[in-house]
Amino acid sequence: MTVRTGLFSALFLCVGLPALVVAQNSELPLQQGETAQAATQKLVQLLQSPDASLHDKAVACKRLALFADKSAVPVLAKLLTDEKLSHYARFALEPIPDPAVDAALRTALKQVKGRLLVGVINSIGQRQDAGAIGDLKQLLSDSDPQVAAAAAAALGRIGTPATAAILKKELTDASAAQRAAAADACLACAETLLKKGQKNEAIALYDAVRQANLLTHQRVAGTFGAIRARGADGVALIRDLLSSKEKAFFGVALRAARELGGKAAAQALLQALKTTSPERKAKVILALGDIGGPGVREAIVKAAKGGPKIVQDAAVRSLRKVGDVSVLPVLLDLAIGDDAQLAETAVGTLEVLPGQEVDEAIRQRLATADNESLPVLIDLAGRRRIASATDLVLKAADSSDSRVRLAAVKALGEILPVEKLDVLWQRAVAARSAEEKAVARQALQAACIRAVDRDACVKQLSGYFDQAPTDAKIYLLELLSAVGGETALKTVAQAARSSDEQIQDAATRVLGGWMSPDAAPVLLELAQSLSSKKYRIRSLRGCIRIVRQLDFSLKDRLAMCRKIMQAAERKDEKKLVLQILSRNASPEALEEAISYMADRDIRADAAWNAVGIGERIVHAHPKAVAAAMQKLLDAGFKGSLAARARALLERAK
Amino acid sequence: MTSQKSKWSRRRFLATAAKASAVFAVPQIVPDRALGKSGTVAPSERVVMGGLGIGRRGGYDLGIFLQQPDVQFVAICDARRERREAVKAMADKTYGNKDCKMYDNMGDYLARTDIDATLIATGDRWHTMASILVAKSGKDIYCEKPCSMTIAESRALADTIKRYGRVYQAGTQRRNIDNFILAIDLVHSGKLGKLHTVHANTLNPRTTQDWLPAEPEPPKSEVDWDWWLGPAPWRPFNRRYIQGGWRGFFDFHGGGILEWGAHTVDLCQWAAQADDTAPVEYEPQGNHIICRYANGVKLVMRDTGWLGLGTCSVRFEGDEGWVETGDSGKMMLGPGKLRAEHRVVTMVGTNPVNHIRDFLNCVKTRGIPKSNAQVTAQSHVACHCAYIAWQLGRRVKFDPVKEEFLGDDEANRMRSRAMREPYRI
Repeated sequence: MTVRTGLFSALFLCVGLPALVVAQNSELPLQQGETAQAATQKLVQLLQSPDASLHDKAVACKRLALFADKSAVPVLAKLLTDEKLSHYARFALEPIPDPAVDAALRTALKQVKGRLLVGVINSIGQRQDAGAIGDLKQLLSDSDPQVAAAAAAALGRIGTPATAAILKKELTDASAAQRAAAADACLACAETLLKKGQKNEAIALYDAVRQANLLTHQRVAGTFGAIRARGADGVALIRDLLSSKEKAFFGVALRAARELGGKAAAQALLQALKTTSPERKAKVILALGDIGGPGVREAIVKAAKGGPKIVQDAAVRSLRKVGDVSVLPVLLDLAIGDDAQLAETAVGTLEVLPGQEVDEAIRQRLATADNESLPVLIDLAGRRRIASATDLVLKAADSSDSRVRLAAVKALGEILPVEKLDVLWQRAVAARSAEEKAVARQALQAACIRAVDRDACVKQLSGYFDQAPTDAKIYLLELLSAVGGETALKTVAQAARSSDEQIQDAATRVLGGWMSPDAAPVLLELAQSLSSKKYRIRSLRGCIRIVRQLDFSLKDRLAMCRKIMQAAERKDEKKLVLQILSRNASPEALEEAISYMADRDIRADAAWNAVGIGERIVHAHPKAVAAAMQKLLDAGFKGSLAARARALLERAK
Repeated sequence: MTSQKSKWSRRRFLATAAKASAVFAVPQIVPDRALGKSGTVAPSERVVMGGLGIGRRGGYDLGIFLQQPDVQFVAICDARRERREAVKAMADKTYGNKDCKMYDNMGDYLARTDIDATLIATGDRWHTMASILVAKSGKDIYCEKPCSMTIAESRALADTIKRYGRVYQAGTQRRNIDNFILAIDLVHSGKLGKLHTVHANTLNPRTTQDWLPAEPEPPKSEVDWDWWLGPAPWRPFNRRYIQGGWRGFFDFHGGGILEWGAHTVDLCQWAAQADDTAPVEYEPQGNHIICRYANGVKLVMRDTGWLGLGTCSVRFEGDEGWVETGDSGKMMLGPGKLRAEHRVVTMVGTNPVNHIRDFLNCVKTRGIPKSNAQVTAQSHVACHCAYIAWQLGRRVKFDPVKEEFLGDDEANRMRSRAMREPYRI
């Protein structure tokens, strides 16, 4: 049994003031009939009550956070010293927009220690209370390092030139741990200053961090900030860092260059290409690809043409972003070259290179290619869906070279028009090898699902059905399912009545996974009429899946639930229907669940289901829940079920 | 509204994901063969990783990280002993050694300077806090979703990641899965005409303020309850929470809008080229939230009425056509002429392999991954606004620049929650 809001619920229910707001979905906001003032008063009383539980007080604080005014502050302030409730008090106080909260938190600085003090400091920081700067400055030298670090963080959040000066001093004067805390605070402070337009002060703070005696990652963060704050002037720093021996600083230069972008950043990277190691050159090239700009494409093409492979690979990848038709020759050479890995990368880039000229160039190469380069070019024709290459690919599908043939069959899936599906069907049924058959079947699926005229496609596929061997028929049923539509549904439903066990098995399985709601009545009908019990149950379960998951109005869904209940032969399926009701928790679903209590098979299940639904909707529909629970209790249920129903009835009332 | 990816063509989207998928076993930037060191990756190109709070989903992610030849997983930090031991066993088995170190406190883990990146898969209550602490310790982050508990956490997350120049990838892997990418590119390329509505599959938003009954706290060496709670408000221990039963509790869980909206609203934001903003209006209708962007595009968050294409479905509607897709990889398009754009996709929406590869490549090149902190923060802000509207049971208006609700003090006060001491953002 969970701990629920008891006393506080009773308190807000007896307020009895005119409704100002309607909040149905959560117990935290003001509820119907509550005003902020009255609710605050009641909750403050609750916090002072010795009879209220810790949970009730916790929830009261969470509620006060949403609407309390300064009248709640004195009582909440007292709780700041309470080990269990200090955080909850801050939860309530932090969002209250009144200076009384700041005063209370400052007072508490002298009343608490350790973790609670850290919490109070954090809340001061969160509220950016500039009036607390003096107190926080003193706490920087607290003997508790967590307190000192919290004070630094709060000063950072407040973010004024005064706090910047204090924190900057900490960077040089404090212990290593406190320097780290101060550095973090400086970074936050600099950001705030930057947002306020105090750019020079922010730059000074970033520079102080990057030059301080700190761990590398903090100096890196300071450097990153220093570049960003300087804007275009930060490129000089990027240029220096690109030759840094430290990996982290080289990395931040790449990151900053991407963020700043523009001609100057690109020029800094281009300059670095001339002197850096191949490993770094590869990374610089990828960054250049992200930035682009004058001279970038040319430099990348040059790198793609030759040199260390790692650099070539990066260059070919970068051309996906900055390449155009002019880079086609170098990419095509690599794509049909001897290096398989570079060829694969080049094909990936060629696939995405923009422009119809690229399509035409590939088609032209295809027309004159030898068997070595044909598979790659055919693959590209498929990936890019180059329709003008269809005849060439069709010709290649009859090649005696199996690599060429397989590439062609696969590519046809992407470019073959519906009226020529026969080419793939023949191979899907009787290819020269099992591998080719599998490729042909995948290609045929690809061709069918992109058929603009779905009915024409289904008609063509259905035409193959009668003459096809059993395994091909099963494949066809799956294909029809992937294509979908009314005609396909009719064809598969007909197959579900086949006298061939294998076909019936495949058809009922395929129908069970159908993707549109119109399959539900078809499956229901099969569930009531098939002679095989196994397939009746499968059909009903398929119907249940569709009714549970797909698009029905609540009214239609519940109507289908009733029909399924009537058709169900077993308790298992009836219980699945109850799950549909749970997923659609509503007064109507609740009424439905109550009505199923008349079914002896699932009497108790339906009652539990009704209680579950009732608990979820009682906030919004108390009357419907009360009526349903009363019916449930009248039906004579006992034990824990009745206890939960009674509790729910009480809540509803 | 703009999108960092909007200038890309469909082919670019497809190829990026397809390549990541095809070469996931080979690091994108420094292939083994390119280094001339077949079978090994140079130490300078290896990503040394640790994990924080690895449970079921985290274990799935970790399994994929461990398959990457350029990853060396060396440490696990968790509030639960059994989880620490399970993850260590998983890593040690992969490497055939006993080197994975277990940490029962975060300070020692964060102090390690040899770790480049951290996989975070704690419960929701810890995601932002852990990401911020890890970023501040100089490590990159792959963090499971939902990534924040409040609007304020979302903003703090994005600001901190930017401040420290870290690489951050939210576990919203659908940004790197082909069918979702293709659907979005149909929008961006204008194939659907003028976009007017995007739909995101969300779940029931409800959470509760209830507490489970108090049980005796286990020894700290088994379960450190105080650490497990982290920045969330204190409550008495109950074993159900730590066994995955924390979902549905307001203090620990963002409810059904955040649970799936972290994925699907995020995709809608991308589709609407709204990665740098959020809707300006939110109206709850039952469990559905109808939202509107400043340019008039409607975002519908709903938990019913989908075509059955799998969990986490999305649907985009323009004045010339529509597309719907989900985790099955299947896709439906209309009218008929749009079906010509259809492609077969076999990867399911829950598979993070491309996404993890995207992250690792960015760690090494200091690039910006698809689900970076900025876009993640924005989509989470949209989800939080919707959740707030739903809790209040009324329409709210929002200024995405100031991140303030207009004329609704109660809603504004729900933008942040004070963290339990000693935590802060």
